[in-house]
Amino acid sequence: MVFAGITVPDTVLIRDAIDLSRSASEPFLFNHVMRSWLFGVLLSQGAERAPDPELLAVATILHDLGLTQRYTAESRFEIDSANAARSFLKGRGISTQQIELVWDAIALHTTRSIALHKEPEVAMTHSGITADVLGAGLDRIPQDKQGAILAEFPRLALKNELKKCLSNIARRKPESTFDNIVRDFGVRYVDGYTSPNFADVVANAPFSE
Amino acid sequence: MDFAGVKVPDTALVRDAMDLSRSLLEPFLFNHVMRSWLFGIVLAESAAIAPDAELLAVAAILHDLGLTERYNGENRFEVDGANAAREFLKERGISTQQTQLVWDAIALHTTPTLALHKEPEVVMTHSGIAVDVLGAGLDRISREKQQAILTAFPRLAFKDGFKGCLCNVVRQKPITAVDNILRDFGIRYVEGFTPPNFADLVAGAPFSE
Repeated sequence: MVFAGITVPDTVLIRDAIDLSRSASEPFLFNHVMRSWLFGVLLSQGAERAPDPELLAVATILHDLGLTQRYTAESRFEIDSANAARSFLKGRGISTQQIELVWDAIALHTTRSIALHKEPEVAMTHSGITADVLGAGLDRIPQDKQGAILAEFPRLALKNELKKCLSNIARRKPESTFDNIVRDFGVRYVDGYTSPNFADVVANAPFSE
Repeated sequence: MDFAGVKVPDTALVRDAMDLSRSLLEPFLFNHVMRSWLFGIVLAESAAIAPDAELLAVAAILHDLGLTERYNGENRFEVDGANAAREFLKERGISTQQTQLVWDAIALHTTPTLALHKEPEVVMTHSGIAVDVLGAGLDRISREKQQAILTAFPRLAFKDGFKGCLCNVVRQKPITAVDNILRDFGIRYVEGFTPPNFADLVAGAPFSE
């Protein structure tokens, strides 16, 4: 199977993940996860530790299900996505350990300071997504390949749409954002959003010293 | 073996972990990891799925090694601590999977929105620590047990000592403090610390939309 000139594994699992993501996500979000996957595939080619291509595919393709109406729940959106991916993988002959790897990759995809130190699938899921969201690591991807990926899966105002999605989360479930990067969207864009400062919480803990 | 009336597993692994921790941590920090461990054990008594007692012990006892001179490395202190624990566990007949579990428990101990959704060892490592640092969940531990633990391992000005440690990390490696709770210590106490806002990074990514 080929997308934007990049050969990817052609398996039922991956096709099903793509179908699920396409059916649940708005087009801007679907295109983002597909670009993230393809960027991840390219970045993996030079990696010391190669990720399992199928697990990388499933993790990147499903990583934003928690931002969709169908799968948004009560946890931080990364966990909602990870749980949705776990449900998708159950009953498909995937080992528990592999399922947890996909779960971790999705749950940690916005926590760079940890994801890059985990298993290759976790590190690459993060890296592919970060190439698309922040442009991090784009210098390791040739211009013509970047162009092909962006042409096949256009951004469709990703910056603005992502900002709306994440601001909505900061509005709707602020307590899920206090210890992670969604807080920054709350601080920047959501009127009345306040998060506790962790240093203050420690200072005020119910102990005298 | 028991501490403060709490029964703990008496194994060479647990004793060695305590020895390592005691030899490297300042007394206020050693007492903190011991209290965290004991609080974790008490909370685990009413957990639906019990953590492995030895893995919980190792994770809780070693969780702050990243704050010591010997193990302070280039990463966020939680990852430095996790790497130190991995090194400690090597060649001790612990499986790769169990070692990774301890690694995850330590790496995620300051991120409740992730840790609480992971394996029982990860959940309880975090929960025991959160009792001692924030007082979170103290209501689930009897007064008498709290007292016994605080008497056996007094706080020794923990709040101040801890604040000093974390501010040093922010000063020494600010780059590791931008996507996690350490940022709050930097914002509150470290002059000149200006972490980027993640929403601004997304808006400024090298894509037009």
